[in-house]
Amino acid sequence: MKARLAVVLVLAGLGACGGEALIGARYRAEREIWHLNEEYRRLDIKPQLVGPDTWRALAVRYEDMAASYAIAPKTDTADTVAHEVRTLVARSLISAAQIRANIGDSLQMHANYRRVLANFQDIPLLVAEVVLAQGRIAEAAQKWGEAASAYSNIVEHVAPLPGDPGVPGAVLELPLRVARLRHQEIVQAVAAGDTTGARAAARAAYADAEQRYAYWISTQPQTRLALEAHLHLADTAADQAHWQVALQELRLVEKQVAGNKESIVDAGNVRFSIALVQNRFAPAESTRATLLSLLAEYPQSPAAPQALLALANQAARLGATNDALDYLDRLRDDYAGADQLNAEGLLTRGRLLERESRWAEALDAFRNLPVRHPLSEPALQAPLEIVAHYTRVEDTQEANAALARAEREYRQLLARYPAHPITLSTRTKLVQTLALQKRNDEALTELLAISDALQGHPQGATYMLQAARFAYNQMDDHPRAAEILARLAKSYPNMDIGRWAAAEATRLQEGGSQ
Amino acid sequence: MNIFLSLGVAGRAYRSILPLMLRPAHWLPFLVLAAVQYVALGILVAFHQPVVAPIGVPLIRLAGGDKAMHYPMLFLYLPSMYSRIMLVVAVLFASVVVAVATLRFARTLGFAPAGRAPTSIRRHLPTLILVSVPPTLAILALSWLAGQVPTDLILNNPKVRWGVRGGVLLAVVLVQSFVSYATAWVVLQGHSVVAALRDSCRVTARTFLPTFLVIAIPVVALYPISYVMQRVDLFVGKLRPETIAGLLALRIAAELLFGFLIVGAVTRLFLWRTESAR
Repeated sequence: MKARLAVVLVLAGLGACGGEALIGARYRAEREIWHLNEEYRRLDIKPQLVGPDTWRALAVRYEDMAASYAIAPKTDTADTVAHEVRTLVARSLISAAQIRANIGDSLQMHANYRRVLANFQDIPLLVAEVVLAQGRIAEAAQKWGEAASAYSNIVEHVAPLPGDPGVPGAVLELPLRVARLRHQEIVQAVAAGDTTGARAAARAAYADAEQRYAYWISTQPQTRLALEAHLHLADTAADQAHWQVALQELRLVEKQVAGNKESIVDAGNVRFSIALVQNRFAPAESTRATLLSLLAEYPQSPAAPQALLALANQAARLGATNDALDYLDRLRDDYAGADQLNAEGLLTRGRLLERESRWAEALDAFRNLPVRHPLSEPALQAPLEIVAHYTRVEDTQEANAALARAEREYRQLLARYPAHPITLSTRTKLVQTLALQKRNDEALTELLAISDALQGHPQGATYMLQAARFAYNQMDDHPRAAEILARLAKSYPNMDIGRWAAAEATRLQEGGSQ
Repeated sequence: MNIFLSLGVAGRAYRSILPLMLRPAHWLPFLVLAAVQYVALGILVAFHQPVVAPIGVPLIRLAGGDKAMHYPMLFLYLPSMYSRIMLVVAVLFASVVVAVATLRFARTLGFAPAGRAPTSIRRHLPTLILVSVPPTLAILALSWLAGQVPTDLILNNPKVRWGVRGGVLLAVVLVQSFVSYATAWVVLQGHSVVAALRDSCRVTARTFLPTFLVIAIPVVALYPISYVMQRVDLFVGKLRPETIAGLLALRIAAELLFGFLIVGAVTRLFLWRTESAR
């Protein structure tokens, strides 16, 4: 009797140990992925300072973690702990794929995504995350149909949840995105000579988007989902030039959110969207009236300074220079905190004054831009505007002096801010300046230096391609272009652009030898 | 007794214990207790290891619930889980350890009760365990009372926050002061539970300031670690969560030292007070 009891106890203990071992495995997997994510976050603070080898090593650690904790799905029982471990494994593979994508290793990236799709169908949200990523990759590669199919797949399987940081938060915009991608396919179809099918697909996609938004509004009225669905419905209508429908939807939203301080949608922004829609089909006067009403009714809205800039641009287009300058003055005086918009406003002011032949004032505006709004895109553009003016009035001496000054300013900025969000833009402008001075060798060297700085990142490949084009078109140096393309192929062997560059380099080299 | 005289008495109690720190035999009970504490902490922290899991998983589930079995949540719950386990250890094990240590200190300080130590402890075991229950319950009650203060008030009002912390600390020191002589009454004089607690309160009342100081000085010295333990969220958010286990290990080491000093000094005060009463 005692022996039997002992056997029962041992068996019970062993049974319990199985469950406890899985709990232990889950804990260890959580710990490993937590530390990997911490490392990822730390490296991602300044990704430009991290070499591709470091990123690759992190991706390998994610992949190793996924391999260490891989367990088969339990179809017979709903084992929560096993499901949680599998979710961690799938999440680890997705992180590895994201890192591989960032360093341009598309082969490993696709392999990781394929593993998730093949082995983790029991975790629909993570599968949707992979499909979303694949859709974005296809979109970036201009494979519109493939991207649209991926997004449609998500819309079919995941319910929208606005505000969610994961896939459910992205679902709401996907029906419209699918319709727009289908519309893009028309352009490709034009090249093929038959647009009938593509046009029908685009129309169907827009109709489907309208139906989905209407459905979400009807099933969950008075919710954030319904509110945002109305906004997307307005965009869907505007895309199809159904202006009145778009206005109707936007006015409905504005009515709902006006006076509600807790609403996530700003009424001023909605009124600004109304003005943008009116700008597409209505007389300029009605757009102007809407923008002025926005300033009167929602002066505190973030859309108010945007409205002033829009009014200034509209007045400038209509030739009402003084009105435009008045709006820009109001933008500067009433919304001094809107730095980006004021920088754009000052650039607009300079261009406007230059157009009106008030060059001294225009020059003052352009020269003020880097002082008042340093480290902004308009401030980077200002020196080139000065060059453009002197080139237009055919004052070669001043144009050359302005180019030299622009180059000096860009180099000073780069020396002071070697790693800043605008560094890349500054270097691109420097290339432009060198090219305008016909210093093509230096411009090419700078372009290659930019691509080297972005080594391993897809953007680096783009800059290297730009350098090859520059050598081919501006310098007529085909061997140099072929050499750069060969380098591009060697640096990015796992990316589509790398494979294309290899073929193109061979073609150019063969062309040169013949 | 005025504060300076009390400080002098407390200081003399500590000073009489310092030479005993060089005798390894006096450390033995405290080392055994620290080992038990480290084992408990080790089981909690390493519950996920296959060898420990059969004990660790049920223990964590009991002390912290299923949510504590996730990383890094384990470390958020670790101080509270450890405290709960230590309440049990305090009643069932620390009570015996303190009795053994008290007996050793008493013998070294000149008080030699009849019989062998193990026999004496075994005879008083139920009483020793029962006598440690009221202070444990009192400390639980104090924690519960502190938990009744609205969270918003504690978070938004520094005066309330520090008032509650100070009040709880003072109350804990008072509870420990009044029951500090109970073990000595049981193990050295053979008192029953009620008599030991009653006489302990009586001795404390007559030797209030020295007793209060002997208990309060180590408790206050340990407070920084206790305070840091209340901000575990910072460790999980900003540092490595494992730091919390390191701090708990440090606290066990500090408790080893302060436990030695408190038990020794309390025994010394007890002998002084009972001898002078005689």
